[in-house]
Parts: sequence; structure tokens; C-alpha cells
Amino acid sequence: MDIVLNNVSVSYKGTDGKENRVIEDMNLNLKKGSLFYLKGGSGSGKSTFLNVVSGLILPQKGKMTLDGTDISTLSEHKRDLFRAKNIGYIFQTFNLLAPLNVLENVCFPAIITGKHTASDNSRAKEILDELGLKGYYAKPVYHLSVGQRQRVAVARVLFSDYSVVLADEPTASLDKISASIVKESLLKLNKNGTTVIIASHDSTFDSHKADVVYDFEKRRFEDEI
Amino acid sequence: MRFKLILKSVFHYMKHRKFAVAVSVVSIALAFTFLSFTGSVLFAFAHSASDNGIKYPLIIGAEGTSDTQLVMSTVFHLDKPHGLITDDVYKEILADKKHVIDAYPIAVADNYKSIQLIGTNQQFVDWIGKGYVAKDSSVKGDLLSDDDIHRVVVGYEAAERASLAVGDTFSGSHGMVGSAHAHHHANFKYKVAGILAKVNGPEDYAIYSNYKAVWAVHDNMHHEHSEHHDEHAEAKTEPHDETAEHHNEHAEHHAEGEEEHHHEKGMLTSGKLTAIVVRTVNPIATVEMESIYSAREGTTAVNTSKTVRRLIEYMNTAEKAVGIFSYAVLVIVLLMISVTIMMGINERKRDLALMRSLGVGRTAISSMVVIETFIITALGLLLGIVVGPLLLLYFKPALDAAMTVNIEPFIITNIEIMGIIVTLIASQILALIGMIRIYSMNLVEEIAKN
Repeated sequence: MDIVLNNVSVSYKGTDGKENRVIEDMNLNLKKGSLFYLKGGSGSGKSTFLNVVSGLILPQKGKMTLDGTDISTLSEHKRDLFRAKNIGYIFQTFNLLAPLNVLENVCFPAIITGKHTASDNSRAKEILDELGLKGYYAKPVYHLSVGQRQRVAVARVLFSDYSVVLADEPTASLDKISASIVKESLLKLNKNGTTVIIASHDSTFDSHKADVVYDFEKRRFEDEI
Repeated sequence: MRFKLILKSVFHYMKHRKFAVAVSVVSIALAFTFLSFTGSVLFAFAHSASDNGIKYPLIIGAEGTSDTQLVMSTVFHLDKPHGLITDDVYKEILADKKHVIDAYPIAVADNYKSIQLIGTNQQFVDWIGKGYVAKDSSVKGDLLSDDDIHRVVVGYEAAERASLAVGDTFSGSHGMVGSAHAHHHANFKYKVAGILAKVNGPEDYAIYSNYKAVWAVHDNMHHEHSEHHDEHAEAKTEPHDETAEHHNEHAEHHAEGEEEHHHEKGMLTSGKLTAIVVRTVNPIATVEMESIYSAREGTTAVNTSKTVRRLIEYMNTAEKAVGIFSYAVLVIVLLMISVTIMMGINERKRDLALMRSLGVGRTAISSMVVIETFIITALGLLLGIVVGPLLLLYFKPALDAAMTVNIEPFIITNIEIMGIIVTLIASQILALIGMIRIYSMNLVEEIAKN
């Protein structure tokens, strides 16, 4: 999925009442299957950018299109459906729905969009097995470790065949083994043609060459001088 | 599948707030039980009033007795009859073939173990009864006859309550049920000659004797009382301290017993009755007789169905008042539940935000509150619907006896149906408030916080 941003600006009103511009006149043309890496410390605007791309918040200025669709023109309901169909989101924590078990969490997007079939369960189980979660299918998610939970979140993204995957600090609170599994899974996804945007302030993804890198602290792309 | 997951989520959140949910369910159940309880009692009384209003067309009593008093004492055995009429009136009514099918004398003054003893005749017992469950086979002819005025016929529930069986003997106490100034008629023994079959009415809670037995008991009592007066008059002349004490006691006895004993003028002695139940030939005869005996000096006449209609109107007003109060309690309970659900929403904000990010629409998320409120309300109502009748079943014997009615615990009354509707509607209105709150929540902010 191509992602295009034209002069996109997003600002928040701070506690002091002043306007805090987090994204300012950003332009981007991200081709389908790209790996986009967002750098910067906490509060620099990485998460806001991901929220804009996912359509959870709309830019106050400028225009963003996903495969030519300006999602700001869609009704909220259509935007929800668009997101459910095309965009996978992995957060740093709280990725899973506490009321559901592991398998239900993985299949949740398919169930919500009404596309869930009986064969989906076996495919979801295969993915969970690959991520080292064999036999955890019926477990309540609050019985899992932080690393296991993050792997379930990755399994959900792998299962859903999203065109775009957004990962917000996906390895920040994980042990080395889990961080490595999550990283490899995201890179594999990208290799298979999914557009992946990763926001991270640690060095897990530094060794891997991204197609585009944007530094939110410096407010510029890395190849720009 | 989608709805199943939403439902599963709702149950999960409810499970995590077990205590709040349990308190909410029990609160609704208790509020509904209260409504169910009062509704059924009022319904039973109104039903009984309506039935008996048809059964007893006209009651003649002493002048000055209110309509309600006469109906309550004669039909439901609940109030005290005031004043007496002579049996000449009874004879006259009995002779009036133009208006009357039959008439029955009623002489009420005594009780046995708080069950009213009603002096009447065999014809009345035959008319109100549905046969006997037990009968003294040695008696030839009527059980209540002048041959032996000691014989009584006991209502079905009265026999159970007082543990009376055919052949048992007992003596009555002077004074009405619940009176503090009872006088035991130990020297007049009644003998149980029959136990009436259940009729599901106030008649089940009474003991019927020959009205001449009531006269005999009180003639005797009058005689004793006169002797006592004479003794007192003699003693008055003796200048002795003990006499002064005796005089005081006598004065107190007089003051306490005056109302109950109907001293002198009010004593239910020979030739006097408390009421006459009249079966008229048709409703026009009822109206005509009502006007004749209301206008006559010394008597009053009550058209039972008219009085009962008025009683039922009072009942309806009472039912409405109880209904409004109960509905208000239910709505307060629902408000409390609404507050706990709102608090619960804050606890699950992160899950809701995640659902939104995964494509679940605001409407589906908000509907969870509606479902949760509905489940809690429905569970509370179900519990109330089950507990209410069971409680009523438990208290039925005591309530039936106290009100001389037949409460049906498993009948759903209008007040209960209204209660269910009001509760469900009010709960859904309150759920909408929660829904709006979720709808207007900035869940993105929650994602941003994450």
C-alpha cells in the first residue's frame, strides 16, 4: 500500500494552553512494501505519526492518502472498517484484549470484519506455533509474560495479512529472545510485501537498513542534509 | 461470532467486578420483591373483596355503623361491629318474600384463639360452604340447630390454625379478635361438629355457632355482671380500706371493658344481633331494601358490592402509591448500577481503545454497556421474580390468616408487569447515558498514552 503525505501538520494544545506542533508540514511518498523507520525519543511525535497513518487521528492541515484513498474524507464507520481491513497495529504494551484467549485475540480482526472461517483457527495456530506459543491457544492472555503477549500481537498482525503494519516501540520492554522473534517476524512481513512502519528509540532495528528513516527529534529524513 | 466475542467481553468485565455486579443484581431483586410482595397482597385483597361483594348482596346493621365497618366485620371478620339490632328486624326481613330469597342472622362478639366465633344458623353455613371435610356422624339433621346450641362448624383454615377436630370442645373468649380486655366464657363449652371444606375466602378463617349460643353465653355473662354490681353496691356501704381498693379495681374494670363488653345497652344478649346478611331476589330489591333500612331508625343497610367497589378504589389508590414508590426505588437502584458501570468503563478504557484501533466501531463498543446493563437488570428481575413468590409462599399462611384472604403467590400482577417494563426501560435509558459517554470518549488519547 502506497502512503502519501502532503504538508501534513498535527498539533496539540499543551497544559499551558499553547499550541504544540508535533508534526509540521511533513511530506512523504512511501511505496508499497517499504520499511519505514521512525527515530526519536519519547514524546517526539512518532506515535502521533502512526495514529495519523492509521486514521485514529486526522491531520489538522495537509492531506494523507493510502493507495489513493484520503481517509479523512471517509465516515468514521468506514474509517474503522478500512483500518480493520488494511492496517495492523502493534503497541509497546496492552496489545491484547483481556477478555479473550490467545487464539481469539489473534483471530479478532477477522471476526470483527465478519471474515472469520473455520480454517482460520488452524492457520492462526500454525502462526502461534512458529512464534513459540504452541499449546497456548486457549490460555487467557493475562496469564502470559510480557514477551509472550507481544508475540501474540505479532501473530495477530501476521494472521491478518494487512497491507500496512504499524509497530510502536514493539521491542521496548522485551527480553532478548522475544525482541529477536518480534523483529524477525516484522522484517519477514516486510520481505513478503507488507509496508512496515516501526517507531523505536532503542537499537534493536539499527542493524537493519530501512528504506526510509525519519528522525522526529531533528524533524528530518536521514538522507537529508 | 462477533456478537459472541462482544458478549464474552461483557461477561469478562462483569466477572472482574463480581461484587459490584452481585450487589446490583441483589438490589434489583430486592426492590422487585418488595413490589411483587405488596402487589400480590393488594391484588388478593381486592380480588377477595370483589368476590365477596357479589356473594353478600346486602347487609343490615345497627344505625351509626359505617358501611366499611359493617362489611369488614361481617364479610372479612376484620373490624368490630358497632351497635346491635333486634331479631325482630331479622324476622321482618325473612317475611319479606317480595325482596328476599333468604336472610341470615349474624351475632359476633367472641373469639377462640383469635379466630372469630360467628353466631348464625345452618342455612348460612350451607350457603357459604362447599360441604364438609369432617362431620360428626352421630348428629342427625342440622349441625347448628336449637337441639344443641353447643355445636359449632369450623372453617378449614381455622381448624388447622386452632388444631380443632370433630369432637373437640373449647370455650370462647368475650371481646373481639385482638382485644386486650378478653373475658373467658369457661362455663360454656362449644363442641366441634363439623369442619368445612376449603372455600378460599374469609369463611375459611371463622368458627360458626348457633346464634342462640352467643345469646346464651352473654345472657349468662349479663347475669354474672348484674350480681357483681349488686355485691359492689353492698360493699360500698362498708367503711373499709379493702372496699376502697375493690371500688377502684371495679372502676378500672368498667373503664377498660366498656367498649368491648357493650355494657348493659350494648350486650349481645337474647333477641339481639350484630348484622343480618340478606340475599335479595334481584339488584332492584337490593337497592329498595337498602333505602328502606337506611332510612329506618335503629338500622343501616349496606349494599355490599357498592362498598366493595369503593374499597377496591382505595386499594387501587394504595396500589398506585405502592407502585410509584417501588418504581422510584427501582430507578434509584438502577442509578446506582449506572454509576458502578460508569466506573467500570474507566477501568476498561485501554481495552476499548485497542478495540477501536483494531477496527471495532464506536457503536459496537458502546453497545457493550447496553448489553451489560441489560444482563444485570434481567438477572435482578429474574431473581426478584423467583424470590418474590417464594417469600410470599413462606409468609402466605400468616398473611392469609391476618387478612382473611387467599394470596396466590404465583400470579403475576399488573403492578409487577409494570415493574418489569419500567425497570427495563429505565435501565436502557441509563445505559444510553453510558453509551454516550463511551461514544464521546477520546480513545485515541488512551492509545497515545500507551
